[in-house]
Amino acid sequence: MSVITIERKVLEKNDNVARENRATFALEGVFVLNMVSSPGAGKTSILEKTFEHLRGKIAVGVIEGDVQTDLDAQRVARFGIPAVQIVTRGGCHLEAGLVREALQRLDLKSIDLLIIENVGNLVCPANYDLGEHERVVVASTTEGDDKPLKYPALFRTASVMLINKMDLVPYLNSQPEVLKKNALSINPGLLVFQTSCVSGAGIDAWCEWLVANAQRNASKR
Amino acid sequence: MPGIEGRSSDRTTMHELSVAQSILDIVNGHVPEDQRKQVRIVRLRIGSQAGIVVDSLLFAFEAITSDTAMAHVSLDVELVPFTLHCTECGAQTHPDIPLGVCSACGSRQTEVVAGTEMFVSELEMEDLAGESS
Repeated sequence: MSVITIERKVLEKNDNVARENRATFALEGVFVLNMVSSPGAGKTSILEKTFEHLRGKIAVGVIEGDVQTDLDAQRVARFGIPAVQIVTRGGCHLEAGLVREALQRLDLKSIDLLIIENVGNLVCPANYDLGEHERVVVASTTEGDDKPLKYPALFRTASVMLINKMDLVPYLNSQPEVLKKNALSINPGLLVFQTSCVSGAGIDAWCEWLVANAQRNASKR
Repeated sequence: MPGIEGRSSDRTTMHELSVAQSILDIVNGHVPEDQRKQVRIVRLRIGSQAGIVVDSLLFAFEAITSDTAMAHVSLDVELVPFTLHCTECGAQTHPDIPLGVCSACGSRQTEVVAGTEMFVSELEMEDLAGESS
């Protein structure tokens, strides 16, 4: 028997494409988010609220990842936002290569902020860098405060967390402070926003953060 | 609806299947086609927090290599424990739940030094008869 040393990252191909995507984003001065969550946490609703708030401030584009249908892209397109749908046909996560292909159909020059809405899944998207600047995990109050401890990888690799559906807290046993504490115990560096797409609470602060980052990013071009 | 551009992917379905395919691509990239029959073992180093279910990975790898020159290849997985290094007190800890807070001193100034990686480390190849190794 002979042994051949390889020492290669299993996902190096994805990481390489992600690096290329990141270089493209830098060249075009686009600030890019990768939004991840379990299905039904409210990612698309947050996007809708975000578009309302950002209208006239910065130009937004969207890449929608779903297992099936272009329903989310339709919801987004109502706001006149350029949207590309990736249908993974059963695939449980987006990969950098899929994003690169989707970029062919977006005019990045006319966009300040690109939001990639990943497939709803708290496991697999953690491993796949898409080339984003910030990974935003959405955890909703209905999911249980222990979610970060049960699915640590996504909370560890995210840089921002939105605690969504804050309007439901009075009807639940959920304690957003416990959810936040659990998330910070996994990832002490997480930036946390608390939002409700029904009352609109917290959307202002979230959008201010987006605008500030998009502008800072554009000035580096 | 205007403004929507669609695309369908015919790629991966299950996460471990996509990882198995990446492993196979790396092996194929290292071993010329006429030598693939000689590959016996592919050694992997996978972090306990890499999000991989090893049984699913073995199943997926078997599925994509059956009826190929690599059908007889087995995966050997070295599971790497999650390791947190505290930059304040210097402790290296292996918490069961992969906390980012140092369990020795409570500091938040920590870095994950192992346990999230996924590497193809080595290949074991059978030598051809008559060939010296």
